[in-house]
Amino acid sequence: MNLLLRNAPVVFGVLSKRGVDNEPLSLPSPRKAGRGWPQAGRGGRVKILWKHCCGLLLAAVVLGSFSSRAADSAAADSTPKRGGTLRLALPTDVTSLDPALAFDTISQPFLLLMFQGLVEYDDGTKLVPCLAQDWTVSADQRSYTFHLRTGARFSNGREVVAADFVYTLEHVLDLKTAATSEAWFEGIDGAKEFRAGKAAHVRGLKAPRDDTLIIELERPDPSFLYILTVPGGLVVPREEVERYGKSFTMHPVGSGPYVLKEWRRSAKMRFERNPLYSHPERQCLDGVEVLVGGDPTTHLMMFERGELDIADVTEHPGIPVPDFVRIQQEPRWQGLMERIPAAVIWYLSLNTEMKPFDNLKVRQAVAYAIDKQKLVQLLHGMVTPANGVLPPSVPGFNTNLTGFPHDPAKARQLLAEAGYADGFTFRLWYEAGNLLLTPPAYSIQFDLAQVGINAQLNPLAMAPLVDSQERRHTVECCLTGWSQDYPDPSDFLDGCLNGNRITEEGCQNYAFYNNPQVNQLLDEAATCQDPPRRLGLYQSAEKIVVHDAPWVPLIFPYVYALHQPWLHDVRLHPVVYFRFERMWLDPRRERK
Amino acid sequence: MTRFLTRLIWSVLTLLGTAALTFFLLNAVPGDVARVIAGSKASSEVIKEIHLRYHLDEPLWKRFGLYLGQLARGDLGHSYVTEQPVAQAILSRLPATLALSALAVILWMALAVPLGVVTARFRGSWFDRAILVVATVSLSLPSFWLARMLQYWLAYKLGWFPVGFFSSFRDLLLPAATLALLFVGYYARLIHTNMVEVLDSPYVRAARAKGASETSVLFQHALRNALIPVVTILGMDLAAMLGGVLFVENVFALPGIGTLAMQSVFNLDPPMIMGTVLFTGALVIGANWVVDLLYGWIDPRIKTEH
Repeated sequence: MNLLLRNAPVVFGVLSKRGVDNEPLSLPSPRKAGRGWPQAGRGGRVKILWKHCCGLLLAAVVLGSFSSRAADSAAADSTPKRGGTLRLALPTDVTSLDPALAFDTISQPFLLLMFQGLVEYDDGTKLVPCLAQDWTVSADQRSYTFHLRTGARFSNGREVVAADFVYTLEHVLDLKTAATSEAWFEGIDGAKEFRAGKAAHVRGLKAPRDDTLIIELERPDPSFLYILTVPGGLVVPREEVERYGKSFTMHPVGSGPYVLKEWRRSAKMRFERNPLYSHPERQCLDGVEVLVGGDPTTHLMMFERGELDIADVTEHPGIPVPDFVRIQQEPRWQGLMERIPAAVIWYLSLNTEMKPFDNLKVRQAVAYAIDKQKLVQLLHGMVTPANGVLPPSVPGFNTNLTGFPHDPAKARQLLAEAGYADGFTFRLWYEAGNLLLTPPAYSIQFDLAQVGINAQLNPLAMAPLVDSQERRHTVECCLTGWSQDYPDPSDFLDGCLNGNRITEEGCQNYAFYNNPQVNQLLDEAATCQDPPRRLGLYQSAEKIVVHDAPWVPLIFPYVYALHQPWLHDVRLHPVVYFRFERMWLDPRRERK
Repeated sequence: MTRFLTRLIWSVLTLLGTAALTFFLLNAVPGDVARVIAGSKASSEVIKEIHLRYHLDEPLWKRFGLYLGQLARGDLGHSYVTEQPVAQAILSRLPATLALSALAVILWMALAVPLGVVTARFRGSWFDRAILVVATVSLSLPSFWLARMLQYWLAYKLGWFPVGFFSSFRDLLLPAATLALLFVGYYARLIHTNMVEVLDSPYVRAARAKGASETSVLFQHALRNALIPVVTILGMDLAAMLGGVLFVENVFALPGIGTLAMQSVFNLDPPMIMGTVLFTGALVIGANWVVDLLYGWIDPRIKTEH
């Protein structure tokens, strides 16, 4: 996913509100208990003695109670509790809660609160059954037969059946829907005819029984199961989609653990438990409330005042960088900041069809000139240097790739060999106002100036920038990023660097890189059924790409989650990052 | 009646000009809106479908004509990004913006009038000079900076106000105070200058000569005349205040029209941008009408003249 094509910086600030059944357990109060003791008569030593005895006894009871409570507390801390409303704060609203239309990173955790697909991720990147109980793949790897779990229901009460998946995928493929994830499913047999209006249904989608779904592909695709996890693969009930039409986004009906109770656009969203959902361990929270508005600084202040449970960054630093440094040093937040490598790469794309970057030596010189370690320092260690295309969490990540070390002398030598001994001037395009990209843009400009290259910074608003960089012969060099849609090397290499996919406009290969050898490796890997060999093919292609330097890989960012001690199971997921439905609130922790 | 009709025609023409300017400027921005709507993975067929749906392939003049036709029917269209009706989006955010603006105006006028009158009465005193310094500082403060500072000290550090978000009237106090502080200095000086001029006029001397009390001279005789230019500027300042509202709403996370406008610009959502601009334009025009009516109330001579 193009990182510039997002609705907003993906920032969550989360605050929680105690629910009705989440009342704090009160510790026995000595005064209260004292009032309950029988009186020992009036005056005298007996009374004093009795009072002392009572006092000692009471102290013992209270201390014992405290210590047993403490032990309970320690033991119970890891046991999920039910109750409490988690409230999130987003700077901007989600674009849509209709899986067919939502494809920005900000919508995804909320879609997963309400919708389910055939498969889902385990705690890592392995796919496990979700609405599909199990599945078989035909010998030619073209046909998938899914056996559906019985008893799963939409929140409108109707059982989920195989025909719902047929409808969902046809709805996504229907051009009238203008679904954002439609292109992922064009590999289904008959999808192209259906889209062209030549067929009423998609030939490759069949529901012979309520609990059996068959999906046939045009050609084998080892990443197909992963594709089913993108929002378009989340099942929706036909009757509700047809009933609400375009406004289905305001009345979403899925089979997930929560339902949308209220959505005041750009102000507030509220999700509550779906009573028909059958996995209580994913419904610990009474609900999730999302406040929309403000900026990361406002959200961080709310978090620090104890109103917030989690002040979070995903692919972009939601916490302003100076605050991030301070918070890392503050003792009260020690151990409460989790991080995971994001499956994201930020890179410098050099247009191989435009001068002077059509020259291999010039591209390599640029790669040698840039000091990535400095970028890491500039961003206070929120990123790691990138030597290849695939981020560390993506299968096929190659630790042996060394890339181009920072070597200005070598860069100058290569420039001279390429006929640019006096350097050259070019425009460096990047998204204006992007806090993660602006410091690197200046740093790169400085590094390139050291070898005689004059990079003129050209910050541009997101929409015109995306349009320009996807247009052929337009953008000579851009500082941009790519975030995975699913954990497969094809998502990075095939999508962004396969020369066979170059188009005049709307092209994801911003470098317009076209190396027949790489194209061949990528095409072979796309249908290769042998996983180790397939990864090998991608790694070979990546090695050539790194050498050819259409991209200068710069940094791999981390995803951070800073949370309060009373919010538990904030385990960042390598693909989804935030899974709110698995978090729970400790009712015994007092908030400010 | 003729005057009213002329005024009405000019108001409509002003709005039309605003619509035309915004529409053509928006379309001068490079970038395919369809690509922004559809996302990075959308096929060219989907892009074509979106072009068809929103008439993006039509010539610009034709699209503007379609938009005007839609406007004539009272329809501001639907957001390309959220599919929400633009009018509904604006109306849902109007209460927060109106409440914030009204409270801010009340606060700053409540401060500016006494400050202006007192400094005019005791002109040249240390108090007058101190207020002059404060006014100059308040005039120079950028709204987003002041909003952040007040939020940091009064809400985050001292906890006197909520940091952000809008759930009750109390939540509006700090944002409204921010806006009020931005304008109070200017208005205090404006009232001061007018009061000084009025206090030197013969009719004030006459009032004093006939034995009117100082309070009566200041507030009954002088202030009413001194307020006429202030009301004119207040009407014109509404547009400037809406600019300030935009930043203040954003800092304090208030769901008002300012944040809606900002988000629609970031999302490159032309119908929403057009809607918010036209609505703001209509608001400013409306405010000027109200100011004209207020003239008559403040100075009955104006009502008699027209």
